[in-house]
Amino acid sequence: MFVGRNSSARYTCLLVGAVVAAILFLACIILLIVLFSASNAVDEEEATATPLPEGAAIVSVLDVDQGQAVAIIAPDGSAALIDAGRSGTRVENEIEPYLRSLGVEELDYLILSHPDQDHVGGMPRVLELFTVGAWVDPAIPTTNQTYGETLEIVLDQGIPAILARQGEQLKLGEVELELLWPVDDMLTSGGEPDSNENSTVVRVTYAGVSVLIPGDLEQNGEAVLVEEYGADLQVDVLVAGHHGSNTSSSGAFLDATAPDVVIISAGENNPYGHPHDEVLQRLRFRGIEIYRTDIDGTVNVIIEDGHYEIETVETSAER
Amino acid sequence: MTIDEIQRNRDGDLVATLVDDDGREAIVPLDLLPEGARLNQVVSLEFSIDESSTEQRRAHIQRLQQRLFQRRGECE
Repeated sequence: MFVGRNSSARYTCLLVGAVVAAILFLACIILLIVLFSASNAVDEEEATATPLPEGAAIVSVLDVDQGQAVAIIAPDGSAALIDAGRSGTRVENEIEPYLRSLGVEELDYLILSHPDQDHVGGMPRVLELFTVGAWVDPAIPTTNQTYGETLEIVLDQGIPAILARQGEQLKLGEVELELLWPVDDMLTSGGEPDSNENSTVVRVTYAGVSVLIPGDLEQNGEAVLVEEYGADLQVDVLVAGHHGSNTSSSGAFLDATAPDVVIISAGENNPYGHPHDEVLQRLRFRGIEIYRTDIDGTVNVIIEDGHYEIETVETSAER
Repeated sequence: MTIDEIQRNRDGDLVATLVDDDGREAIVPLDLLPEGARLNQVVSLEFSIDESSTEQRRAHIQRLQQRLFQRRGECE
């Protein structure tokens, strides 16, 4: 009896324990489901970071360390990329995730400013990761191996090529890309066409707002543009030539372009000291607002209804 | 030049900072240095101009540009 009564009590205890365990188990399952849903919601939010407002275009100066990559995305989703940073790693870590987050799956135009490594280095990887509608290239004589590799991929993939020359007009939906430079008679140094001075210069215009992207154009090229275009060179936003080097952004060029905002694409603690103090002084003297990828991360110009806003997005990559 | 620092750059590649007697720095990929190179060792650098490779590369890229653009001017 004693044993039996003890068994009955133990049975009751076991039963109660099992019920409690089941309730706890169910509670855990429900908690896990809730947490999983919340986690998914956060992921979805991150994947669609920086959504574009309806009807807006964006020009993004991406933080690719020392180098340049500028994305242009039209309201209809068509897109162009000017330069691709110095390596495939920068494309994988910065350019591809950023473009995908904005819904870009194809590039209508892949534009090269000039065949220096900090601009052309990531091009082969871009061509592997994205379908490209047209390759735009100033075709400056060079010995850069990555550029040669890039051309081989462009040829292999049968991508149409457009020679970047002054007067060429490209369309991204309602966004206009006008090539202001170079010309056939290239600027030379040491008797050979100079890579920086013959950079493709792109003026992006949408809804009455314009952004000038001059690659690594230096003061000789700037002077010719000032002479040829005069007051027509005026823009709202200028991407500083040659990463804010004192070889570029001359006073005359800044006066002619008269930007309200200058964006400098430079790597933190880069060995060239970009941007140079003289350039920063010239900009400050003119009251120009300055953004820098080495400080601000990726800098976006969001253009909508005849006005624009500047947005900065700190890079997730280790600096 | 002295191997002053070995670290990873932002791309994750190992690079060595070489410093000469005047304090001037050169940053080179670590795999360009002799195997077993380590901090504080003194290494010697030697550069030479490879005219033949320069011309070969220039001509190769010019041919690629010609195929792409099949046009006038500098691409010819």
